[in-house]
Order: sequence, then structure tokens, then C-alpha cells
Amino acid sequence: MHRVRNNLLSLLGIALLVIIAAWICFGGDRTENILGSTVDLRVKQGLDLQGGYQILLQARAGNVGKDRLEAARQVIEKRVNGIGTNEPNITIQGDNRISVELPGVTDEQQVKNAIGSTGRLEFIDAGSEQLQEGQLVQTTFCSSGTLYQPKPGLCGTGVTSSTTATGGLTPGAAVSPSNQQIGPNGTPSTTVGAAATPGATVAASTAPTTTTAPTGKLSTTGKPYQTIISGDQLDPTKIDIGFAQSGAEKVNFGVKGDAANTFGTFTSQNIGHIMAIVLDGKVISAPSINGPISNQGEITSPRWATIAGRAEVSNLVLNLKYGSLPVELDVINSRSIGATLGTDSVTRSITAAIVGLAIVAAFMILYFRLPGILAVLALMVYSLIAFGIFKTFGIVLTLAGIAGFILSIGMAVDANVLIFARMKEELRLGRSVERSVEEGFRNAWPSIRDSNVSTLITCLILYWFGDFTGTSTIKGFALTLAIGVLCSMFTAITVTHTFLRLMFLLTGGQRRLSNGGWWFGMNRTRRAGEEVQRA
Amino acid sequence: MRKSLDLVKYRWTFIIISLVIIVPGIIFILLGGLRPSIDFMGGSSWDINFDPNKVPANADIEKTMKDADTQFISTIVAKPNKINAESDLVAARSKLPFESVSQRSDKGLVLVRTNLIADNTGEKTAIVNALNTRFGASNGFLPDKYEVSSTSPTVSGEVTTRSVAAVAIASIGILLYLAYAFRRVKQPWRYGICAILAMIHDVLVVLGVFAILGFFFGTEIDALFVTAVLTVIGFSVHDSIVVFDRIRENEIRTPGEPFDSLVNHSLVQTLVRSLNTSLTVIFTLSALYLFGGITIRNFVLALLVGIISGTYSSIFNASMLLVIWEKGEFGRFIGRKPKTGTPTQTRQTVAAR
Repeated sequence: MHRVRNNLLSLLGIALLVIIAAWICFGGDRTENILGSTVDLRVKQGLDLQGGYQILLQARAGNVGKDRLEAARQVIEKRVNGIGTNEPNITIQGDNRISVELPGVTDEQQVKNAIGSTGRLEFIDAGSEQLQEGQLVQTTFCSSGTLYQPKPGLCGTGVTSSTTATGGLTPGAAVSPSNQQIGPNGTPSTTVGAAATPGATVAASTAPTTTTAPTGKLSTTGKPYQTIISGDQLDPTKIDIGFAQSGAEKVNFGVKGDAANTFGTFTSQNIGHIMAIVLDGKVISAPSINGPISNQGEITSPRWATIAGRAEVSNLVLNLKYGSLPVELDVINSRSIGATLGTDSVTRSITAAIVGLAIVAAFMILYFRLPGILAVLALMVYSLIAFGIFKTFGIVLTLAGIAGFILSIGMAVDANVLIFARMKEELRLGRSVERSVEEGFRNAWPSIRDSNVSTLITCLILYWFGDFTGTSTIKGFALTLAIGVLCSMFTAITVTHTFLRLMFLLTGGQRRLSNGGWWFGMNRTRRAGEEVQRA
Repeated sequence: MRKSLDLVKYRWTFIIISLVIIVPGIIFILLGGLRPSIDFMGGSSWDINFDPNKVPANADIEKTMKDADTQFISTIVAKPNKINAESDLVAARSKLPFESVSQRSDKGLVLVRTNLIADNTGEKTAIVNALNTRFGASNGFLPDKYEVSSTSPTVSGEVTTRSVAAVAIASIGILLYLAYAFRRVKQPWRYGICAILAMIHDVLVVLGVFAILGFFFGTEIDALFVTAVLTVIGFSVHDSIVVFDRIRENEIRTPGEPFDSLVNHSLVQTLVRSLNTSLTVIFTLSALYLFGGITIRNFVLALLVGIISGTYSSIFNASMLLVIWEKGEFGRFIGRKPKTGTPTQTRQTVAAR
């Protein structure tokens, strides 16, 4: 029969969907390679579920401009990555705010390190040692140094060499020597030529070190690396991107007057040595010195002739310019959630979801009987699809988000209740089962649509409402509720409908309900049209 | 034939029941029962968990925190080279000394409101450490089972503005949607306004319940509470739509039927269904309230109260208001109060066939 075939086709479609959803939902947290792109199938837990620190920062100076804010964001991101938190989320909010989410972190000290107003940019003496980018090092910045004398106050803010550099060597950091060279600005072409065949001797002399020192690497003499100048001695107006004669990009920089002497003396005495640039204890560039620099210098690298290299150049410029946090930031909103509380919340939420589902399922089956069983099946399909969507699209699950999801379970049934109640009415009027199913769906649809649209409008407003503080709580609720509402419309209309139609087509839907009304939640001694009498 | 249930007859009774619930709520709102949380007021809020059987006295908790903070501030004061955040903190505390107000919730949870804790200075750590020393072993305080939220005045001001704006936008949006959904019905604005009145009813019930809870137990309302209210608004309208939809349909099916009888029919037809749809949501929310995460219990409670109220108002208020309006009883209510029942009764017998 034609209709049977159509329904079997939609059943097949539903089955396929369920299999895909089940495959996404079960099998744990993982990333999968689907059609050539990597899909992250991990459950993204909000901070209230895994514990963590969430802060909203605002620039003290008011409107600081997009550039400086972005620079600040990048600096914070770099520092945060050093903490070793899993998947920090640092985003710009509006004109002068940065939202920082640090899952798994509740230690205030670490947050302090990330947002403390004193970032340390240093040029250090690495001697002949070729440091790798990403290597954590200890410097004399805050301890005793002969060349560089730290200004009082800079080191008393909790950001010291040893506390900042706690993360160890970041996996996947560049392991090749940088091949970069540093020299006086406007160097003759021979220097540039030297830059084109760089660092070969240096690179050969030291094999890349892979030891991860928890407090940063010491120099070959066993002492912290000597700091030559610090970031605040650079002249930010003279830092920019230039072009070497080879066509490759280069980084120009200038040193401020009082430090120029120190810098000039050092560079002229250490030609051929490595002078690493270190941000917050981490090497960001390790060029070799190819000429004395007093107040104007440049950094070149053969890598920078390529497109990929250009990103590196602009990054370095950014770091040199804004190495220390370019904007002073105030914490205007924060939330810190202990990890145990988070775990506790997860357990409780799962219990609540199971109990909620079970009560609803029991109610549906007891009240609507046969259609109720179908609705419960549809509900399971719904839960699978909704959860599958959460996982695939990386919807962050928060406590409120789970509440939204559980609420939408109630609403998913809601649509079914509307349909079944309409169906029952049609059956009472003595219509055939098949016709009752169709009429029930047709009549219930406007109500389902209208009520769901009004909920979706609410979700939209909630999303806007929750968007401003940078907290994911309210947004999470709005998002899961909206997804739940959309999924519930889909499952109620397609899944329940198909189940019902198929069942009646297979059991003979043309018959009227002379008996068997019990299965549809009606009393055996039903009196047709008793309650629903129409004029 | 079984006698059809006549709900419309008791329309004034239902309205009065609503008033009986709402009026005390309004009184408590006026008495200042609604306690705005740090989301609106600024400051810091601590959720501290103890062993449920060994919850320390409030005064003990408050003193521990105050002492820890005083000590912390004095170390900051003594410190050379303060960063801005630290200088700000010292200035703030000298202007307004540290104060903490704790309030016992259930299951070992204690909520504490304090001045704005300055992140980025180590103040929080100092207090948590002090709590741990004092209550760690003896009262089951876990240093990683707490939550601290801080909101500066900047943010709290924004939350307040946004909350008002969100409620206004939601109301207007839903009014527009209702006008659209009922555009083919006679007098669509009437449906819209009745649905909005029912919605205001629900909002007042939720606000009233929280004002009473706030008055007696210090329960606070926060940004999540506003979220709950907004959600309730959506649900309330959704419930009203189900009933109105049936009225709209019956109006087409049985033209010429007296309006109150039409409404009654529609109500009886949708009564069980309205109850069922709300019941499923109430079931899931109750499960969430009883077994779900502790930190969102007030949020779930607000939703629960609002949805129960929404179900009541959609059945017993929104449609009743339609009838009252249709019959022009508003003026009569204001003019001569006692004359509520009689004229309706006569009309009703006619309609009952």
C-alpha cells in the first residue's frame, strides 16, 4: 500500500536519525572525524558544573579602543594558557570589557597572574644557548641582576618569575630553533644576507631541550637568565613591521634613551649570541645578535617571507608593543565555583532528569495508555536528538541550561498531550481511528505552533538579557530551552505521528472504535459525544 | 445526560481567589519583602556548604569572615607598592567596613552576603582559608565546595536596567504576537489584553511569593529570578493561547452561541488538557526542585510557582475576563459590587440548553 510505504520511509528516516543521535550521545566524550572535518563531541560543561573562575574585566581608562583591548585579550590568553587550565574562554564584550572563563581554576593567585596589570616583557641574555619559543625560563628580572635593575613596585604584585612560569613547556610549542636574527636598524644588505642564512651554527650547537621545568629553565650556568632590558624600556612608537631587502617582513623596534646605552654595550659585546625575548617567563622569540644596537633595532627571519610567517611577525609586534597588559583592567564581576560543588551539581541534575522523565513517562502511559507509550518512545527520541545537538554544536551545559532542557522535556510531552487530547475527542465523536489521528494532529497544530512560538520569543529575549554580563547561565537556559522547543515540535509532529499512523495502518485503521477504547485512555463505557456536544 | 460543568458561572469567585493570593503578596512587596540580590545591589555572595548536621552558628561564620578580612586588609595596608586593585580595596573598606550577613538554607548550605570582595588581591583566598581553618575539620567545610559571586555597582546597575527592559520587551513582543495570532477573530486586542492581564497576575503571584519568602526567610531575587519571570510570561501566554484557540475555533463552528456558554464549552473541553500539559511541566520541575542542583533551587521554585499560577490564570482568569468584558461587567463591578451573581445565572441557564 502506498501510504504504508510512505510511513515506512519516514520510520526509516527516524530510525536513521535515532541511530546517528545515539552514536553521538553514547560512546563518551570524544572528537570524531566526520566528512573530513573534526567534530568535537564532548559535553561542554559550564563553570557551575566543573568548577572554575569566571571574571568580567573592564578597562579602568574607559574606552580604550578595539586594538588595545584585543591586545590585552591576547596577552591574557597567553598567560592563561600558561596556567594549564583546560579550554579557557577569553572574549571581548562590548567596547571595554573582557570576559575570562577559567574552567577548573579556583585559585585566586592564578587568576591574579592572568590579569595582573604587570606583564613582564624582557630581553634576556641566553649566551650561546638556542632557546626554543615557548620555553619557560627564569630570569633575573625580580632577583639580583647585574645589568638590569628592576624598578621598585614592579615585582611586588604577585607576578614573579617563578610563580608565573608554572605550566611547564606547552605541548606542541615550536620545537625548532627560531632562526631569527636581531640587529641594528637599517643594517647593510650583508647583514640581511646573513639573516637569510641564519643561525645554522647556533642551531647545531644546542639540541632542542625537552625538559619541562616546573619553575622555568635556568641558564647553562645554573643561574636565572640575565635580563638586559624590560618591556617598558622599549619605545612603543618605534615598534612596527618593516620589509627586509629580501622582501620578507621584519620587526623594527626602538629602545628608549636611558636604556639605549645598556643595550648598546651589551649587543656590541655579544654579537653572535642569542638574545631571547621573554614574555611572562616564556620565550617568544630567540634571535641571535648580528650587530650592535643602541636605540634602533630590527628582528629578521627567513621564515617571515612566507604567509604563515607574517602572522608570527604581527604577533611579535603585538607582544613587543603590549607585552605588558596594555590596558589596566578592573574585575567588575566574578564567580568562583568549587570543583566539588560542580560535581555535586552534575550528579543531582542527572538524578533530577531521570526522575522527571520517569514521572512523565509513567503519567503518559497511565493516562493515555497506548498513545502514551508511543509518546514516551517519541520522548526518548526527543531526548537523544536534543542531547545530540548539544554535543555536536558545543552548547555549554550549565545548571540553568539543564533546567531548560528538563523543562523542555515537559514541553515535548505537552505537544503530544495536545495531540492525543484532540484525538480522543475525535474518537469520542465516533470517527475512525485513522481519521481521529489525522484530525487530532491537524487540530492541535495551531495551538502547538502558537505556544511554541511564544516560548521561542521569550527565549530570544532571555538570550539578549543574558548576553551582557558575559555569564553563560541565562544564555545557556535560553539556548537549551529554545533547542528543546524546536526539537519537541519536530518529534511531536514527525515521530509521534509516524508511530501512530503506522500502527493503525498495520492494524486496520478504518475501523471505528467499538471496543478497545481503553487503549486510548477512554472508559470502556464511553458515551459518544457526551462531553463534546456541538450545536 | 450528565450535566456539563459550568465554570463561567463562578467567574467572579475565581477572580476573587486570585485577588486573595495576590493581595498579601502585594502587601509584602510594599513591606519590602523582595530582597534584591547582589545582581541588582552589587557586593559579594557566598554559597558555603557545611556538613548538614554540623552547621555552625551564623554569628560564628560572620565573625570568622570579618576577622579574616580585617586581618587581610591590615596586611595589605602594611604592604609597600600596592597595585591599584589593592589601594582601591583599602579605600573601599575604610569607607565602609566589612560586613557579612549569613543566612541558613537547607542541606547544610549557608548563604552569606558581604561587601564586594576584590578579586585580584587575594582577599577571597584569605577568607576561604580562614573558614577552612575554623570549620574545615569540625563542621565539614570543604574549601572546594563553595561558590562566590561578586558584582560591582557597574554591572548591577546594568542588570537592573536590562531586567526592566527585558520584561517590557517581552510584554510588547507577546502582545504583538497575540494580536497577530488572533487577527481573524473579532476584537483581537481583547484577547491580547486578557492574556496580558493573566500574565500580570502570574508575575504578581511569583513576585508575591518571593516577597513573602524574602520577608520571612530572606530569600533573594537575582538575575535568574528575572529569567524565571520572563519564562513564566511566555508560558502564561502559551496556556492562555490553548484556551483562546478553542474559543476561536468554537466561535467558527457554532456561530450565534452566547459568548459565556461558548467560553464555558471551550474551557471544559480544554480543562483536562490544560491541566495535563501543565502537569507534565510541573512534574519535571518538581523533580528538578527536589533532586536538582542546590544553587538553582530558587530559580526552579520561581518557575514552578509561575507555571502553576499560569495554569490557573489561563483557565480561571483569562477566559473569565473575556466574558466579564463581553458582558460589560467591569463597570458594574466598580459601580455596584454586590450585583455579581444574579444576572449571570439567568444567562447561564439559557446557554446550558
